[in-house]
Parts: sequence; C-alpha cells; structure tokens
Amino acid sequence: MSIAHKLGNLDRRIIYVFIFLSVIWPLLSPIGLPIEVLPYTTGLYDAIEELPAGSTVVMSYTWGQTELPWAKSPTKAVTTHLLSRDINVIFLTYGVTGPWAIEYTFANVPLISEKEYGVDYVNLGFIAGGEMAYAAVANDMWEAVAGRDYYQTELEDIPLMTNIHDAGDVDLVITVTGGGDNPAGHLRQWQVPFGTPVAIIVYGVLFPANVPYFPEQILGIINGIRGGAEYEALIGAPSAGTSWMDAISAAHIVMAFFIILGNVAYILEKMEKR
Amino acid sequence: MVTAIFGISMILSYFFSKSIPALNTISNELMTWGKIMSAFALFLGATTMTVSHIRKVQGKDPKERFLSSWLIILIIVFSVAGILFEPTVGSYALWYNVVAMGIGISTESLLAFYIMVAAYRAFRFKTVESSLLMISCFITMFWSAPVGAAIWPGITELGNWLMNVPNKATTRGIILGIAVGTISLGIRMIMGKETAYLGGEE
Amino acid sequence: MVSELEMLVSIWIQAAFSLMVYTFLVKPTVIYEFVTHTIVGAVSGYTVAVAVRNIYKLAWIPLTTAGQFLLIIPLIVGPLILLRISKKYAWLSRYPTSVMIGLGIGLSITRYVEAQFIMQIKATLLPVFGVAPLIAFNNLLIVIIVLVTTSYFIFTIPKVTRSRSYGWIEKLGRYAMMIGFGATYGSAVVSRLTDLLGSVSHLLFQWLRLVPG
Repeated sequence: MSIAHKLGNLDRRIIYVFIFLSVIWPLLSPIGLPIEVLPYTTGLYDAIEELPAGSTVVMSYTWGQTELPWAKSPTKAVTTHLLSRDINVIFLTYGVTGPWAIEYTFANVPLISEKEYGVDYVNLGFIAGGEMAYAAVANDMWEAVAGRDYYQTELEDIPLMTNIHDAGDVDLVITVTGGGDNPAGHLRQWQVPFGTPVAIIVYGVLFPANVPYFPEQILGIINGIRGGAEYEALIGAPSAGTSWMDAISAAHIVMAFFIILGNVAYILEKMEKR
Repeated sequence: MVTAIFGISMILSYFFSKSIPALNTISNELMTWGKIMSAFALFLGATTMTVSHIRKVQGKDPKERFLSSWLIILIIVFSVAGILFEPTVGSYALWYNVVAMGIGISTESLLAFYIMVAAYRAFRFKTVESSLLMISCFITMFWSAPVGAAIWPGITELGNWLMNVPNKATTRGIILGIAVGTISLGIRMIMGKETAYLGGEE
Repeated sequence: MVSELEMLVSIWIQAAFSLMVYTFLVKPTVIYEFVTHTIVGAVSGYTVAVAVRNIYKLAWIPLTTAGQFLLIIPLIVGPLILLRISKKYAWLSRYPTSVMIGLGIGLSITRYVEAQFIMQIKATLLPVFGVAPLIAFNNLLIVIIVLVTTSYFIFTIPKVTRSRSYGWIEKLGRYAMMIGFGATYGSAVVSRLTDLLGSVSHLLFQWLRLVPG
C-alpha cells in the first residue's frame, strides 16, 4: 500500500483524537480572537435599539435541552438587551421542551431579577400545533393560551397583556429555533396578515436557508453560537459564545488540514497510477 | 372531505374575515380544536413505542427484553412524574436534563466527528461539482470562525458575498420551487386527489 | 429546590452518559444501545407529561370552568389518533389527521403565496443598470442563479428534450446548488462543533472541575 493511499485513508479514530484535542485545548486556554460583527446580527440589534421603551416583543422558543449549547448565548444576550431597554417581553413556546428553555432564560439572565413578572415580562407557555399554533397565537393570543399564562394566572390579572391581543399589537417577534419551518411559519402567520416585523435566532445549519429572507422579510438573523458571540460583543457582555469561538477555530484548522491532506493524497495517487 | 371542509374554511376566513366577522370566530375556534388534537398527537410516539417494546419484552432475546423493559419503565416514570410535578424546575427537570443533555447533546455531537471524516474522505477535486462544494464549504467554515479573519481579513468580504449572492440566489430558487410544490400539493389534498397522508385510501 | 448531593450525583451520571455515547466512536456496543433507549424513553415520557398538561390547560379548564362546551369535540375526536396503532380501528384515526392537515393546509397555502412566492420574486427583481458595476454584477448573478436553480426542478419536460435544448441551464443550476450546499455544509460543521463543545465543556468544567487558564 503506497504512502499516498495510506494518507488518503487514515483510520478515522486518528481524526477523532485530533478533533477532541483541538476543542479541549482552546477551552482550557482561550486565545480571545476578535470577532467581526456581521450585518445579519446588527440587523436585529439596530431594530431593538430603535424600539421605544414600553414596546412589546414576543420571544417564541422552539428549543430545549439539546439545543442549549448554541441557543443559550444568543437568547441570553438578546433578552438582556431587550430588558435593558425597558422593552416588555412575552415568552412563549411551540416545542415541548420550550417551557424548560423559558425557565432557563429566567434563571440565567441576571436582569430578570430587576424586572417584575406580569409587568415587564410574561410566560405564556407551550402551544402545540405547528402552523396552527403560530396562526392561533397571531390571531388571538388570549384565546390561544385559554386566557391563562403558564402558571395558570388569568391574563386579565397580567398588566402586560392588557393591550396585547394579536400580532398587530406586537412590535417585533423573535423566534428561536433549532429546526423545522418555524421562521417561514412566522413570516406566513405573523408578518403577512399583521405586518409584524420578524427576526430569528437559528441553529447554524439553518442560517444559509434563511438568508434569502434577509433583509426584506427578516430584520436580523442570529447565526447560532457565532451570532451569539457577535451579539455579546455588541452589548459588551462576552460570555460562553465568545470563548467557544476559539475552539471552533481550532477545530476548523484541523478539518482544513485533513481535507488538504486527503486532496494531496488523491493527487499523488493519480500521479502514481500514471 | 374532512380535509376539504376544514381547509376551505380557513381559506375563506383568510379572504373574507374582515367583511364577515363570524368567519374569524369560526376559524379561531377551529384552530383551538386543531391545537388540542395536535396535543393528542404528541401521545402517538410514546404509545407506538410502548406497544412495540412490549412485544420485545415478550420475546426471547435477554438483551432486547432488558432494554425494552428499561425504556417502558422510563416512559412511565417520566410521564407520571411530569404530570404530578412541574417538569421545568426542581428534581424532575434536573434528572430529565441529565438524560437530555448528557445523551442528547453528546449524540448530536457525534455528527461533528462524522461530518469531518466525511469531508476528509469525500472532498476531492474530482469533478466541478465536488470542487465547488468543497470550496464553498471551506469559505463558509473560515468565514464563520474568527481564525479565518485572523489569517486573511478578506475572508469576511468573500464569505459575505458567498452568502448574499450565490447562496441566497440558490436557496431562493429552492424556496420558490418548494412554494410551488407545497401549494399544488395542498390543493391536491383539499381536492382529495392526494391521500397518502391517510394511508393511501379515501 | 435541589440538594447539593443530588446535583453532584447528577453531574457524574451526566458525564457517564456522555462517555457512554462516545463509545460509539470506537465501536457500537450494548452500552450505546442502552443510552439510546434511555433517551428515547425519557423524551417520550416527558412529551406525554407536557401534552397532558397542555390538554388540561387548553381544553379541560375552559370546558369545565368557562363553559366552552364545543371543546368536547376535540376532546373526543383527538384521542382517535391513537387508534392508528390498531389494525382494526386505524380508519378512525383518519378523522383527527384530516382535521389537522386541512387546517394546516388552509392556513399555509394562502400565506405561502405572499411570504415565499411573491415576496421572494420581488426580492429578485434587482436593478442591473444605474448602479455601481459590482452591485450590477452581483444582482445579475442573483437573477441568473435564481432562474437556473428554479428551472432545474422542471420535471414536466422530457429529459431528452431538456438535455438537447437547455442542458447547459441544468448544469449551471447544479453548479449553483453545489455552492449553496457547500455553504450549508460549512454551517453544519460549525453547528455540530457547538454541540461537541457543549458536551466537552460539561465534562471539563463541571465533572472534572477544571478551570480555564
């Protein structure tokens, strides 16, 4: 077996070891490479900056425990930004693990402790049904949650919900999703009938698929962990997103090395055959 | 026919709800029904799983019997405990997170290894298509990570261009194709010409 | 509230689960089968719990306390979907399925036309004249790529005719799609690495209690 053949067919476990080492080392010794903020992220940031205090934003979650690695950084950063600008936030979810994600947000955004539940923010809980759920919430939020929040408090007793009945009363909807048709579903059920501006926080693999909607239909796209790191830079609060980018950088270098190695081996094998 | 009735009522409500407010009331009520039925659909996974694993428990393979019993026990424990106690906080949430994060995140991370090995094995300058795929992947990877800009500052501009021009255009073409397909499939379903979702029969 | 001991034990069990999953990288064994059965069982049970609470909130409480008696209909029809598993009564599950599909179609196809058809076509109508040369080039490229990609999916013209008359359009469409798929692949690499970082972070900082330098 020639060297070229061996180089092009390395045992996959060697690659696994290199990948593990490439992520462990920067996690233990962060480098702190600077991150450039892209227009997709500034789109949402600027939209929130332009909202006056007292505006109402809906954060609709379709993520849970398994999405935590990429979702915690951008949701924390965006929620902090919203609350710091005295913007009211309505949290709701279309995924079964969403109620946990909302509670996680409440427990991990320090600014929440300075705000009053029911006045500054509210949790409407889980609404099943996919497209039907988006439409039901957009058409009549009170009816969609049977007139109660997640903790079974009547919406009549929640001051924040007094003037919020449908998507037309909301100034911005930010949907956080790890998969599915959620972003486009919000365009269909919130933006088309009511004109509600839409922004999204998505798992990285969904980012290229949602770029066609930017900026005409979607104001901003937070691209998973990278977008989270950018948003943290914008609000001046570097956190998990920023430190993980170094590890991602190292892993990319390893991957690039192996791809180049594979191509070199391929070219050498072709030359040997000639 | 049921599909047609409910589908057409929502379509009529979209076009005429402003002039006929009763349509709005009807559509909201129907959406509530749909949401409640969707919640029942969530039981389907657990039910199907339990039934198929009960058959395995009754089988002869000891490994299958153990694993299937374990699965059924977990379904019962997590469902009963979740109904009795709040599933988003406290001990229930802690132990569910142990499983979901310990196993779920790790399982998803296995794909990181496979994706890299697949790239190493498959990305070759063999054909125009594979070369374009590889180059585009390379650019996106280094555009996404800060090391790309640290090595060559121009990667940001190049990556932005790749996302905003070829990728945007390609994905837009696919979105248009999917939109046409979905609309025509929806019309066929309402007309009763497409019954695969019912199991292929009327 | 969760005790410290419970927290400590949970960290160790979570770490054990992660390491069990990673054994799959060496060789698929019964250990991996055990963890997959564990997560499937837990997720199914959790889903049932959330669904029950959801039905209680959205249907039972309004029915029993707010006099919304029409909700008895979905409470009767909804459970029929579970009869899908029965060979004899599976036909009954078609009713709730038809309701949900009908509602979904009715809600989506009307809005699909505007959100994902008209708006996307509008966004493709870009100026090629009267703008800076680079912008004109990019706009022209976008229009061409959208057209060739969309025409790639025209299957109603026989393949022989397609190849002869405008096979080059299909080829261009395929090249354009490869660029798009490459971008998606690159994004997928970052996404999956994030999951790996989540898992490894827990092992390093919560289980082994290492401190980043």
